[in-house]
Amino acid sequence: MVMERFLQHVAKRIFDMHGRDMSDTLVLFPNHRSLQYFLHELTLLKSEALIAPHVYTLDDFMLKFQPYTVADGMELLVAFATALKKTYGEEIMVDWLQHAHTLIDDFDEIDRQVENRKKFFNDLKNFKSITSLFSKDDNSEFASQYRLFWENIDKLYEAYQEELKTMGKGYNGMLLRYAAERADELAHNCDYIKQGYAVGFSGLYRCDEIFLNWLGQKFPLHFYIDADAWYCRDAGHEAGYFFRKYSSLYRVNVNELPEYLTEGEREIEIIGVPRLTPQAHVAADILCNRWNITNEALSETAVVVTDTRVLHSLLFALPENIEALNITMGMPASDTSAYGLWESLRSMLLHAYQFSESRGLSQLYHSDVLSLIQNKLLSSTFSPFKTDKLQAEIYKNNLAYISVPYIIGILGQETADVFTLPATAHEVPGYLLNIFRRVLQACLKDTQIARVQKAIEAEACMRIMVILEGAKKLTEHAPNISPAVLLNLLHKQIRQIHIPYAGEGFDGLQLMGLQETRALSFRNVIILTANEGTLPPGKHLTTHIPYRLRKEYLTTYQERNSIAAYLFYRLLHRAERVAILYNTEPDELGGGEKSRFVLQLEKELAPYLKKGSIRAYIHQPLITAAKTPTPIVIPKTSVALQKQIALLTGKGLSPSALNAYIQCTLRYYFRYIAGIGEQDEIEETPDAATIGEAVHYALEQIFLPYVGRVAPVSELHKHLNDKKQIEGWIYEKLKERFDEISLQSGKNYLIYRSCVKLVEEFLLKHFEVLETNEKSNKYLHVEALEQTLTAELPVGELVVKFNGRIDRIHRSAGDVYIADYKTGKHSTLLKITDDTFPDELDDPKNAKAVQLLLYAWLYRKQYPADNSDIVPGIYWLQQPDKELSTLQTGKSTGVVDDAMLQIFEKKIKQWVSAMLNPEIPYMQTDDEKRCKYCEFQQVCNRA
Amino acid sequence: MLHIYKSGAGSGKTYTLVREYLRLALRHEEAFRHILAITFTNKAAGEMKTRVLDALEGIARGEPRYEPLMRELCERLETDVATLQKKSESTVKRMLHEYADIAIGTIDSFVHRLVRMYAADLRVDYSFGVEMDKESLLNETVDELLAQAGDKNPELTKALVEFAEDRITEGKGWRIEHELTYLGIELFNDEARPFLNRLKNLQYSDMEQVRLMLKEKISQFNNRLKKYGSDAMKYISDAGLTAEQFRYKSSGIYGFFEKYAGGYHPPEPLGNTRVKEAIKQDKWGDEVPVDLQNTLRDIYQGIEALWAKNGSEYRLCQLLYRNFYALMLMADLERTLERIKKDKNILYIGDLQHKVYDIVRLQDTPVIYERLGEWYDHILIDEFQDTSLLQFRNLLPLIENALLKNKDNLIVGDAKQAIYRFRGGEVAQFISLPRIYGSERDSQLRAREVVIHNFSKKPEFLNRNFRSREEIINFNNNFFDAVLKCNGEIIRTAYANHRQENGSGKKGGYVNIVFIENNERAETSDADAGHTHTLEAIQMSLAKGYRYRDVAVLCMINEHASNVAAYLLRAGVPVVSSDSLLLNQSPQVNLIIADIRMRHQPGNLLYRLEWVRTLFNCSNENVPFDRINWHLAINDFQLQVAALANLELEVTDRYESSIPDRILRVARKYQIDFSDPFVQFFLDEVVAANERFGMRVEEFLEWWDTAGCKKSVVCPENTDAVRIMTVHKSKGLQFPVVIFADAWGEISPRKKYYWSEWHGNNPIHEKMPIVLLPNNKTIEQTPFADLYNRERASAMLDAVNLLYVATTRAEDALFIFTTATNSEIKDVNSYQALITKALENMFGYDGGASVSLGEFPQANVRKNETDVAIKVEPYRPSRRLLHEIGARWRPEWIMSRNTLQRIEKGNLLHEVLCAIRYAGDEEQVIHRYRSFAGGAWEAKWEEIIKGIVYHPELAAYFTNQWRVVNEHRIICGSEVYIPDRIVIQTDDCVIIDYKTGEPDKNHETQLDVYASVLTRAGKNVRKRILIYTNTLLIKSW
Repeated sequence: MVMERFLQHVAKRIFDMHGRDMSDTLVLFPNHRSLQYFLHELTLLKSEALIAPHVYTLDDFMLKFQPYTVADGMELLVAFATALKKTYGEEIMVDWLQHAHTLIDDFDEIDRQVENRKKFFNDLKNFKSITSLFSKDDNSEFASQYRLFWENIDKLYEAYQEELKTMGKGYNGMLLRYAAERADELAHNCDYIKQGYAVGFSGLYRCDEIFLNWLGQKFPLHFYIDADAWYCRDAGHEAGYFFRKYSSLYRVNVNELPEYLTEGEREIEIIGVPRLTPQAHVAADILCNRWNITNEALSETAVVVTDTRVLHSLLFALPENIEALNITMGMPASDTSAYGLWESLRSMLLHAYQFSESRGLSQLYHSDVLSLIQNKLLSSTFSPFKTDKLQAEIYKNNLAYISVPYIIGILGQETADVFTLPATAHEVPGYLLNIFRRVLQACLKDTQIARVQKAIEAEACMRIMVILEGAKKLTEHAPNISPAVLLNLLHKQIRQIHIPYAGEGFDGLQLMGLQETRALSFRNVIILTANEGTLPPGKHLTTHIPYRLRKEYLTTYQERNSIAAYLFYRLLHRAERVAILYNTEPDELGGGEKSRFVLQLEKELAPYLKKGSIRAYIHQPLITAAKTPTPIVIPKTSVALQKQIALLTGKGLSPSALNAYIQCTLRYYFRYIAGIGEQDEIEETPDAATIGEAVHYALEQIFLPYVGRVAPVSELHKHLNDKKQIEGWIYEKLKERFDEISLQSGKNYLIYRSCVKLVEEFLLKHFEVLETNEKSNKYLHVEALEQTLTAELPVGELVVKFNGRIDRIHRSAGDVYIADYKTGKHSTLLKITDDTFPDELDDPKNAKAVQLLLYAWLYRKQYPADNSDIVPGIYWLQQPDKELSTLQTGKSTGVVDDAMLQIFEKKIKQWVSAMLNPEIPYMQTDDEKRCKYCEFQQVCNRA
Repeated sequence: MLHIYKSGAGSGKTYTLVREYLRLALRHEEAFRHILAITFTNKAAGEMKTRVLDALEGIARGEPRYEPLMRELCERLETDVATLQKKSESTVKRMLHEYADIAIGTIDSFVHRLVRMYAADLRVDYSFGVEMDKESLLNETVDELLAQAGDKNPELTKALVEFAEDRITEGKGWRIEHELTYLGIELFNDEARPFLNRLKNLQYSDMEQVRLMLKEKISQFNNRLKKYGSDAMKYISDAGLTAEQFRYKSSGIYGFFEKYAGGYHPPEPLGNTRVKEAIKQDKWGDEVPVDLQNTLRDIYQGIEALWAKNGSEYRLCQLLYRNFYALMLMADLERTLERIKKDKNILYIGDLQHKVYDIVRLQDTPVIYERLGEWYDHILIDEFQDTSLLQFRNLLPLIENALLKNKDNLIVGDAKQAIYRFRGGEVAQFISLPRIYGSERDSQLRAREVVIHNFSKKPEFLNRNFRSREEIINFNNNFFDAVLKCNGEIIRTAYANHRQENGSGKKGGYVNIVFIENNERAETSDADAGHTHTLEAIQMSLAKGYRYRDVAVLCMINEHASNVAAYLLRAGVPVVSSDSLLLNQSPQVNLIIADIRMRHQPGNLLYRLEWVRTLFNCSNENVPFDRINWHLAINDFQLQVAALANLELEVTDRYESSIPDRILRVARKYQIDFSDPFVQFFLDEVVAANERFGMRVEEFLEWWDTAGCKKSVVCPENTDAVRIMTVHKSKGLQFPVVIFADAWGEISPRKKYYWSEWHGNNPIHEKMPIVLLPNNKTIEQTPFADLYNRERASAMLDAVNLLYVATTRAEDALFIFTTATNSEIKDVNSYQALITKALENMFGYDGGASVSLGEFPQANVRKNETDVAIKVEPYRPSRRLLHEIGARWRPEWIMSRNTLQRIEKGNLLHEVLCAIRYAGDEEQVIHRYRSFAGGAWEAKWEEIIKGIVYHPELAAYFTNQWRVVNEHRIICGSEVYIPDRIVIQTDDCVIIDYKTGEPDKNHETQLDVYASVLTRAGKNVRKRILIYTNTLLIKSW
């Protein structure tokens, strides 16, 4: 048999009592949702027509006839700031303004709950854990401010209320207390009421209680409560706490209460699921597969979400056949682009103010700028072409900090108001409002966006603007406020914005928070995240009032937990199928413990069940081994081969291409055939290649005047004395890649300095060596700098081209030296022996040998007439005490002779033939060690 | 009294703790609120709570398995069983309902609550977040510090440049971020805290002097050595000799002097054996004249004397100099980190202890309790050996307070299982009990020590092992006896009384130690012989009737655990492991990441390539690489690839939303199966981390690369699968079969830096407040050698303890896989050496491939555990996104808010009218709305309102003859009607509606509808009245 819903029952009873005209009847509810459901139940009565009773939430009813209205969040802050200033002066104000939210909440509850506030504040002021926090003779600034603050806390409270009253406003607690205390003055407002009902109440504040008592004296007031004997009878059960406490007000007789929990025919499943998101999936599975909810049953089904983080995935996972859906929680602002815009702006401002001393406000952090121009709302007001350009520039030039004129230069003058930052906190709200106004107008005009999305974004913008408008006033009242504090306060407000969903009202599946389930009844209930700390919320309370005083005057976690307990058990009253899901995984600061309610069900209720069942188990995700990705093999199709030939005969092979091939043919393919280079990710500092470039450039400049002649050390030395010159060269080169401003500070500056140091250190030692050489009449004769050598080699029918750019060629004592500068780590070069040469060149650890041999070979090819001995080698710039490092060729100076070069040429042919062999595909190397520094390791799953 | 239990593995530590908890809790109903039980992890806390509640429930019901416990409790509480059962019942009930008052938890969670309670007092914002990830904090700190370099911060810039340049001169490259990060780890080190505080007053100018001083000392020393060297070379060349005449030429005594002469040091400062042959045995070479020998020997002795006298100081100066800029930058890093935390309103988890230290220093314990709302009479601490100095210091006042009230307190621990030194655990605190470690340096501690000591019972030893079978207990007894023989003082103290008796009486058991040859242990994961041994051991267990869930594989290194897991999964063995089912193994997850990365930087071809690869990976097809044109515009590129992959893709960019939303969108784009656990857990991690990156794709990708990719799928405990975990995580657990899969590796000092006070006087001392030395063997040659030696001893204790924890987890069978040591063991500086050496000591192990003891027992089939495997049936998710549910579309609202005027004017007047019930109300209503509406209020409205209320035709309906209902619902079936005003007299009524616009026929129809509905509700509608407010035109019928 289907049980009557609670509100259905109440609606029927009231209708039965008062008939079709209930306009002399008042019905009060604890919240809006229960009120609406009640009205809905009236429509379901299918009476021909009826005049509804007066329905209100208790709060609304109490607030309705007030001379004051409820202030919004920013108004509260403004009043609070003013009160702080009046009570304490401006010095300590800002510090405490940051705690405004908590203090305001505390005041709110004091008003609702405390009758003798004078006594309360007296106790608070003398409370030991406050007065003894600093020793009496601690005269530090904070200590004295702290004492001053607490000694005058009651004055602050008074001043705050006064401030609000002059605005014609108040906060909830203040106005509710007003209603309770002056009910008689408001009495004439309810003289049309003959009788009243209060439906679904449980916990009350003191002022509610006073007011309800008063109402009860004015006219007959009947309480409909929805409680179960099981937990009300039990003096230790928190779910029944309020019914025992208010038993005389509610006229509850625990012995006459229904026994829903023990008598009901109900299946309860308690399911442990690791983490949050998987719970969404299990919930969906239950709805779809196990319960088989039909569309008609949707409205009798509730999914209760106690942790909103699960909402995204829940919605995504819900079964397809669930068409109608109603979400009562509202969409968190953080899911909108408007909020994203706020976040980006906030971050940009915070960064800018943080460094304003060293950097001024005219340089912005690249990732702030990127996230701003990538924001769809804002970028729709820019020219897409220009934002693309800016983005490309940022990536291309490695801009870490970007100057405002530069940005405006690209994006256009019309964006100046976005990137010209406000200099003071006072200008911040206006600056932000301006941007949001611009964005909102664009959004409303935009025909591209879907209607629902437009509604959400516009709504979010509006709500943010309301807050910003309030912030304008705040800055007027808090002249000392810093931008960071202001942004922090604003953030607290904006973060709380929720946008109501357009739902299916009463018909669809109900997705709701626990609070919203008050007084509603569902046959199928799924509760997610039934964990301590969430359900019930646990011990943590944000408050300035010490526990003992809370216990004496206000409420504590016990009341909060009792409310949660009641709501939890009440949901079960009329449910037939219940699934309770909890997270099995603890996190580091607690959590992950299953809810005490679950324990209570298992340990206490289960033995008394007359019908129905409780079943508990842990959900097991089904893990399958991740498939090993298939190895990458690229066959040399005709297309691939064509590209290969084009490369060999066109651009030609460089030492690095050849080495890439030796290291891994796939890497070679990606880089040289497909043309996928090193990643272009934004680097906040120059990468190794850039450093190399700058250093090479400086070294080239130094020797440039001596090309074709001897470079005497005596002359070279002057470069070392003129530091400016080296700095200039390095700077000149780095400037090509980086924004100049970014070179003047931060990492790039350090890199710049390091490059200079690298060059100087190298030259210092290098010149020492040259000096020693000169003493034995070996002079440095510079032949060429940064010269590209080329050669051709017939392989089969093709003529394959080779080229290599050589850092420095010089001659000394008759020999030709081919020198390569390396900024990387020093390593020993290959020892060439008859047994292993040239086969060991196939080992990529000999890549440098291949490079040097190829240089020597190219030189010989290009200058066949020159029969001097060739010595290829490397200058390790980081090891400046080393002379030119050469291959260990068995000859003392590292000479590479023609015999070696001939063998090497054969080896080259062998490589090229392999490249051209259609039978040999491009494939990953087997040796995973080679992948360590490869940019494609992610692609190959070798990371 | 303070009870101290020192115990071994499997000896019932937790049982003791639970029993003590129960004894205290069962004295009276409220008692449990005043017991604070501290465990090491949250998981342990959860288990202890469960054990306590289960025991109480079991006792109340008189379950047989709780009989021994009942007896013990009856005895200790001096009560009978019936009373005990009744008490248990009422206690468990109270606990279930006052659950938040059960104080069983970790020290961190306790401290966290305390800090929240005192937030404002500590100048912390209430809503502070707790950051667990020090790596990301540190990266941010380093980035910010570097960003500060530049002309505006000349001193910092100089330090950074010098630091960077030093790295370059040392050949370490220019990536100083890495070096700074390395340095920054010290900021999170409790031990460094007092030193860091003293760094705050560091002056750059003083430090520069110190630097020059150090430099001077170093070069003085070097110059003197060089002088000796060149003197020697001069004598040699004066005598007409060259290297040729000397024995060993340049690699003997000649080379020794030559090196010094050239300004270098020979690798051994006093020469190698060849050098010593010359000096000690006169073997110089036949052609070296004797007088030259003597001269050179004199010089050598000069060098020797110099090293003896100044060598240690020189080494110290070198180390200090090397670390010089590090010390200066440490102070800057600290400042930067503090600012970041303040700006982001976060505390690092480790800060909590420091914050609480501030509280316990300032306030008496009773006052703290008052603020907190609870007080603890009994503090029970588990796993005390892993408590950090600060943690203990924070708990001490509470313990002292309890002891002074003459209450029972309890500390349980095992020095042999101290393996969390890297997190700040200080085992010496446990070993010293009831003395307080470090009290000699702190007067406050000394005072507390007196109390603790006076109230302490003599430590008790729990020496019976209830966990393992006999063979395993014996093995461990003998093994660690043997280990002790090769080790130092601190280990002997910790392992005093380590031998255990067999507590359960279970006989038999099996131990198998395998020595894997090094070449067998190839680096590629699949060929790893260690893995095949593991698989064999698992198969062996299955053959003996064990289930997968009975087997645990313990590893020292995460990476190894991950490899084993991958290997076993591929071999078809089900596996549960928090370290191994990494999210980045999932092709689906990788595809989502690749998509986002590519769309973020469409021009980056590498990202395109990664996307293509992951896309084809998901379908397990080969990529037609040669048919892809990589250089197309991004949308065309995607379309091209989609066509090759036979996919339909939506490639246009949609509205930006949050990262989780974007990920779901991408998941939908590729039809990714949401029931895949990898995808679910991926999303879960993203949702949890979302706070950090908000909308920023860049930060999201950075998070993924640094932290996200290391997350893994979480499996619940009771799955029937082999458990794979690190030895650290296995602490406190036990398994029938344990496979210790990688008992090899170096044992070396773990500290990165050494902090110290100066000993004695030193001119540097005055300017440079403290000593900071990098971890380097040469510390041994400085006056701070003891620091290094102590660290080495601690590292050895860590290692032995790790072995102890691993080998004592097993109930029935234990496998240890280590590597074979091929050469003779000189220093015991690796696990393999330690194990080999111990086995040699134990029974003369002589290098065989494996050793086994006992028999692999048959498994006891446990009947009361049932496997629950829930299969999720496939279904079609709707894949709805939050956005698509939509908001209520309210353009009017928006337009009015746009000008930030709350209510449209017409509506406002309407609202005012509906607020008036009777004549006389209007004054108050007008007053209220006027102040509320501000500028929107129009002066003429007052006239209009009064005109209506006192209008001759209407005035009657504004008297209390009538019951007035304004804007009230009339319900008819499922329809609802809301007329502006109805006045009722019993069964009669009049309908009144206010209109702002021009008269309209529709208005009349509307009122007629109202009338007919009211008629059906049983009313006689006497009149309908339309009031046009603009013109005060009244129409009635």
